[in-house]
Amino acid sequence: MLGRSLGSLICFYLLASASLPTFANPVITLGILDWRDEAKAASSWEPTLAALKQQFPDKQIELHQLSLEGIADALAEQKLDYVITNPGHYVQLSQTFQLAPLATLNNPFFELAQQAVGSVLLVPVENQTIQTWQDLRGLKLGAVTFDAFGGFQLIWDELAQEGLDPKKDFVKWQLTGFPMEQLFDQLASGKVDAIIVRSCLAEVLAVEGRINLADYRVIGERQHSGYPCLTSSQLYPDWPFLSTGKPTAAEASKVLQALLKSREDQPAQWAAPLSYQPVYNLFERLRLGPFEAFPHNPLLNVIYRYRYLLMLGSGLLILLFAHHIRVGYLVRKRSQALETAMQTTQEKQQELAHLSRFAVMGELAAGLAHELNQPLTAIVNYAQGSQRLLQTLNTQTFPQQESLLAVTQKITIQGKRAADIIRNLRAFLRKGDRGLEQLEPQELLQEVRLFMEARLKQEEVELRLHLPEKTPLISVNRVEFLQIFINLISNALDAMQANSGKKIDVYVSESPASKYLVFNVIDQGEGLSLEASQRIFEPFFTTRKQGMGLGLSLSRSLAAAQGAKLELLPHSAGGVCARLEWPLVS
Amino acid sequence: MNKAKLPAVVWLLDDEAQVVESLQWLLQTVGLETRVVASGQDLFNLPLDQQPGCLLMDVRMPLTSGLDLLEALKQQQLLIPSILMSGHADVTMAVRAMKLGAADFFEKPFNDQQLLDSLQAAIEVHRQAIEKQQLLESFKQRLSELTEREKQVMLQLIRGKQAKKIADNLNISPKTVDVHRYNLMQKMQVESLAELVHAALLLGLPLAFESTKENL
Repeated sequence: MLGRSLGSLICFYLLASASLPTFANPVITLGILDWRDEAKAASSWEPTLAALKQQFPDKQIELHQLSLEGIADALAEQKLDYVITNPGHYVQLSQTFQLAPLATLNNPFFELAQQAVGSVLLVPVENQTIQTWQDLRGLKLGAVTFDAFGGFQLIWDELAQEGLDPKKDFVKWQLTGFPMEQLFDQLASGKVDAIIVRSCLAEVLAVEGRINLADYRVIGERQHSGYPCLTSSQLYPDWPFLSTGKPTAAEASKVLQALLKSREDQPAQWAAPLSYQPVYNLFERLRLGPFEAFPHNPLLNVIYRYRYLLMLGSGLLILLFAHHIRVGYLVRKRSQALETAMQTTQEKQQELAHLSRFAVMGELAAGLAHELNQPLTAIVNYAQGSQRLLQTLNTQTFPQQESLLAVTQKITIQGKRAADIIRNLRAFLRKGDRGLEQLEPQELLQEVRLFMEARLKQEEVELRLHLPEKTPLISVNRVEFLQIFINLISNALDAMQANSGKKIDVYVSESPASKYLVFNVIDQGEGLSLEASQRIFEPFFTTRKQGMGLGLSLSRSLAAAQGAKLELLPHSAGGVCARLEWPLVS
Repeated sequence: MNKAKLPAVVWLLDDEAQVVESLQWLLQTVGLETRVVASGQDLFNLPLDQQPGCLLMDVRMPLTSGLDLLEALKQQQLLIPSILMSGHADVTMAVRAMKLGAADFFEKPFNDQQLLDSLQAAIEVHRQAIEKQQLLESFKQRLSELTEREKQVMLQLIRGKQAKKIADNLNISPKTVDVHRYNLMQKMQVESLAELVHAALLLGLPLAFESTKENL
C-alpha cells in the first residue's frame, strides 16, 4: 500500500505535555515528500513542526516522510491532514484530490518566492564534449524518476522546447529514485554522463562539504537575477503547504496562523500561498497530470481544449444552417407563390391580349369589309344595271347582247363572292364568347385597375375611381367591358404622356330615370383637335405615330354590340372625357 | 296639285360617292328618279314628303349614323319610308333599324331585284300615305268652311239620325234640316251619306254610340 516508503515512515512523537489526547481527533498528520536523506529532510522541517507544536499543545503531530506514490496512496486512504510536496506533485495530485494551498514555502535564499524551484543539468567539468542540449544525444543520463518535478520534468520542458523528446531514445536513462544525492555518486563513478538535479541541491551539498562545485559544469545555463543557485531551467514557485479535505476550517485556520507566525527572530518558514499557474502551464506543455488526456497534436489539442466552445459554435452553426435552410425554404415557397401569382396575371393578360387581338382582327375585318364593300357594291350595282340595260336590247340589232349579259352576270356573282369572303372572315373573327353576366361595376373597374397597374406605376399616373355608394349591377360581357375600359385608360395615358399632374378620374353615375349607368373617364391630356374629334371613331384613324387607329373604333363597336354608347367629349379643364353609357336592364 | 301623282324620287344618302353614283345608274335603268343628299344635316331641309319617294341610306356614316337619322325622321313625323344599307350588318343593328321604323334593311352588296322590289313597295306606301294625308287635309279644309249649324247637322247625320229627329233635336223644321244637309254635302264634296261618314272617320269626328245618348 504505502510501498517502500512505509518502511521509511518515521513518526515523531512530539508530545507537548504528558497528558494523553482526550480530544476526538488528537493527532495532526502531515505527509511530506521525502526527496533527500531522511535525517536531513526531517531537520529542514523542524521550524514548521515547532510552530505547529506550539499552536496545538494538546495534539500529537505526526510527520510522515513519503515518496511521490506514498503521498498519493496515503491521500487515497484519507490518512493525511496536511501535505507538503513539490509544486509539480501538487498539481498532479490536485487532479484527483481536493487540496487547498494554505501557504508557500518562504525560503530566505530566494529573492522572489515565485522563483524558487529550478532544475539543473550537470556534467563533470572535465567532459568538454558536452556543450549544448543537442550534445546529449546518445549519452547516458541520470535522474531520480520521470515523476520528479525539479529532478526531471523541468529539464524535460527545456529539451522539448529544443525539439528533443527525452523519452524517445534520445538518451539512455539511469533512474535511481530518491534520495537525489546518490546521483552525484553515479556521475562521479562514471556510470552516467550527466545528471539532472534540483537547483540548489549541489550548492547545499557543497556547503555540507559532500561535493566540490568546481567539479561540475552546467549545460544550458540560465541566469535569473536574485537566484543564487545554478540552473538550466525556468523557475517555479516553492513548495506548497496543502490542506486536505479532512481538517475542519477552524483547525486549518489555526494551522495557517502557526505557519505564518515568525518565531525567535527568525522569519516564518511559510508565507501566503502563491499562484501555481506556471506549473499548470508547464504540465500543459508536457501533457502531464491533469493535461495527460490532452492530445499532442496541436490542432487536436486546440479542439480538445475548446471543445465546449466548439460544441457551442457547431450547435450555433447547425442552428444557423437550419435557419438558413428554413429561410431558403420560405423564400422558395414565397417566390413560388409570387411566381404563380405572376403567372396567373400573365396568363390573364395573355388571354386578354389574345382576345383583344381577336377583336382587333375582327375590327380590322369590319373596317376592311366596310371599305371594300363600297367599291364592291358599286361594281355589283353597275353590273346589275348593265344587265338590265342589255336585256332591253334587241338580239337582232345587237348580236353581242347574250355574251355581254353572261359577263355582267359573272361580274355580279364574283363581286358578291368577294363580299361573302370578307363577311365570312369577319363572322369567323367575331364569333366567341358573347355571354353576358350581371356584374358589379366597382369590381369591373378594380379589375381594370389591376390590368393597368404596371403602366400606371411606370408612368406615375394615379387612377381615381369615383363611385356612388350603391351602383346597380350591369349586364356585360366581362372581357369586352374590360377591353373597352383598358382601351380608354390606355388612350388617356397616351394623351397625358407630355403632361405632369397625371391623374385619371373615372366617375360613375346613374342617368336620370336610371336608363343608363354613365362612366366618365376624364384625363388631363392635351385634348382633341377638331379634326381628330370628328374622325376619332373611324377605323384606322389615329393621332399617334404608333397604333393602328382601331382602339376606339373597336371599343365603340364592342359597346354598341352590348347596346352601350361611347363618345368622346372635350373636357372643360382641358383633356378629354370619354363617356360610356351602359344600358341598365330594369 | 296632287302630290301622290307626281313621279317617285329615291333619295340617296351614303358617304361613299362611288356607291351613290352606281346606285343612281342602277335605278335610272328602271326609270326611277334619284336625288343625292349631301349629308345627314341637309336631309331635313329637303321636300321629302312633297312627292312619293323613299330614302335609301347607309347605316355607318361619319358624324350621323343612319340609325340616328331614322330616329330624327320619326320625331319630325315625316312620312317618307327609309331603307337602310350596311356593309357589315349584324342582327343587333338590323333589329334596331326595324324597331326605329325602317322599311327594309340590306346588306351591301345587294341583289338589284330585291332592292328594286323593296323600293317600289316603299314608294307605294309613301304614295298612299301622301294621298291619305292630302285627303285628310282637304277634308279638314272643307270642314272648316261649314257653318256652326251645318256642323251640328253633320254630327247628327253621321250618327244615322233621321231628318225629323234632327229637326226635333235642334228645334228647327225638317225642311231646314234638308237645306243644311244639301249645303254641307256640297261643301264637303261628298255625294252620299256613306262618303260623309268616311270623311268623318278620317277626320276623327266622334262616332261613338255611347256618346250619342248624351247628345240626345
